Amino acid sequence: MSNTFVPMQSESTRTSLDESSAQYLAYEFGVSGPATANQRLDADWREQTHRTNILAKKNIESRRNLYKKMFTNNRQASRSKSVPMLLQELALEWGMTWVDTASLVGVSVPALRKWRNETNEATPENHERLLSLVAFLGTLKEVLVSHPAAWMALPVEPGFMATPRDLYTLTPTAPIILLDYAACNISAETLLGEIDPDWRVHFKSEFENYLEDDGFRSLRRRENRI
Amino acid sequence: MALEPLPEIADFYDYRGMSLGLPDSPVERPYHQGDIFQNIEIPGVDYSKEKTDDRLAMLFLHPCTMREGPTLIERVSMIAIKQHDVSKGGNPGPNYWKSNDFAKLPLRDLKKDGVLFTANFLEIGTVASTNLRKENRWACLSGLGRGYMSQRIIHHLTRLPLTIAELKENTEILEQDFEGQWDWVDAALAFKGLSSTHAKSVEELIALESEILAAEAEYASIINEAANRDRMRSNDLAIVKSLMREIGHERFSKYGQ
Repeated sequence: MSNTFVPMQSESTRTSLDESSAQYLAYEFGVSGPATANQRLDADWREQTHRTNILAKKNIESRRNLYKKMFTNNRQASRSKSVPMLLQELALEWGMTWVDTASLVGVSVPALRKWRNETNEATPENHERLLSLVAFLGTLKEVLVSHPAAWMALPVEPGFMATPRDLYTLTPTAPIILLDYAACNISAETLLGEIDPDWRVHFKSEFENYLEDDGFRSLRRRENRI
Repeated sequence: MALEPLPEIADFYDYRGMSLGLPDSPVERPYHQGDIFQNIEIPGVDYSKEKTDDRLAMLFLHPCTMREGPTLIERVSMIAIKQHDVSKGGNPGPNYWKSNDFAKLPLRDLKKDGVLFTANFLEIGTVASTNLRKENRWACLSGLGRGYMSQRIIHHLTRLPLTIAELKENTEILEQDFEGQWDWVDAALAFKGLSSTHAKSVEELIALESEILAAEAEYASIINEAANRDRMRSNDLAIVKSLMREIGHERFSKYGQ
């Protein structure tokens, strides 16, 4: 459907279906004269889809603004915490590993350990990143993710190794899109597509992890390869 | 066939080198796959053509199989590390390794002097684990470095090009255990006012050994309780993380960190 064709703007200005169908057919296909019954039905479905799409777009914006607000509030609530306090919270309350925290903040594990032991100070920029991570995990809990740290480490789509922790740092808006996904508003495919359009190439995986009978984790080729 | 690109040097190592005779890596850190030690004699490996007498070697065993309780098993497999022979074609750039020399793990700037070393998977031998002294630990690979190392070894042995991400998922729980042990040892020593960061000599590092072993044994007794062992082997990462959080709280209430 053409982007410029907007048959009806609101209920108050709504024209009759026949009128609308005729307008649409004339505009889009140059069809003149009375439309057939099926053409009118088709035009009606198109119109409804168009309206639903507009509404869905508005919903996305509103929802994401809400998650942004929740995230900002959680950041604000933790603002007075020092770097060692934030690190302690990440490890003890959220169960984040040092290696994951380091990668999400963009520093090395030794750097984190030095901040934790206060043998080295984090830059204000890194303090902000830690604050964001704590706020993000808190917001995940608010949208009812029961184990945020475990959730961060699990692949979102079978056959691909993309986990929320891989996606978190890819774009500035990734945390908010992840919250939208965590709240079950969008599919894994939409999440991946929005953050990394080439996700099917970047995260493709032919092997899967499983627990072997001897109790050790093992790798095997996926049965239904993509 | 091409493997993943060689990680940047800063992302490849967690610790590297010695300063005033003391290792950059803390002795509280447990042994891990990819740790590099000096003064290692691997039977049958000839170091005579090396420019220095460091006799560097890398701990090869998988973390699952290298331990017996809190300590290393009696004998461990090590990979010989030597300066890369650049006489034929100069020092290859990082892209070279994606599709060449699959039997070697490149160790760029291992000594912080720009010289390229390689761990050679064709020169592997067994040594007594008592020879692996933490005060002689020259370098420790990062999580990414270990993933890259595993990728090259598995590819060398099987030609299967597993991705680093697949390998990372496979070792997720091991890494939790490794960090749990390290945190426990750190906290137990700090509680007594001890830390390798204050050490000024090798003797002071060696003096910490008995405290470290005691703390490692304490951690092992917790993690090896039957119920905890079962939880560590769970297929559900949330269960493992809950256990590690509980151990973290136990550590905090006992040692204050």
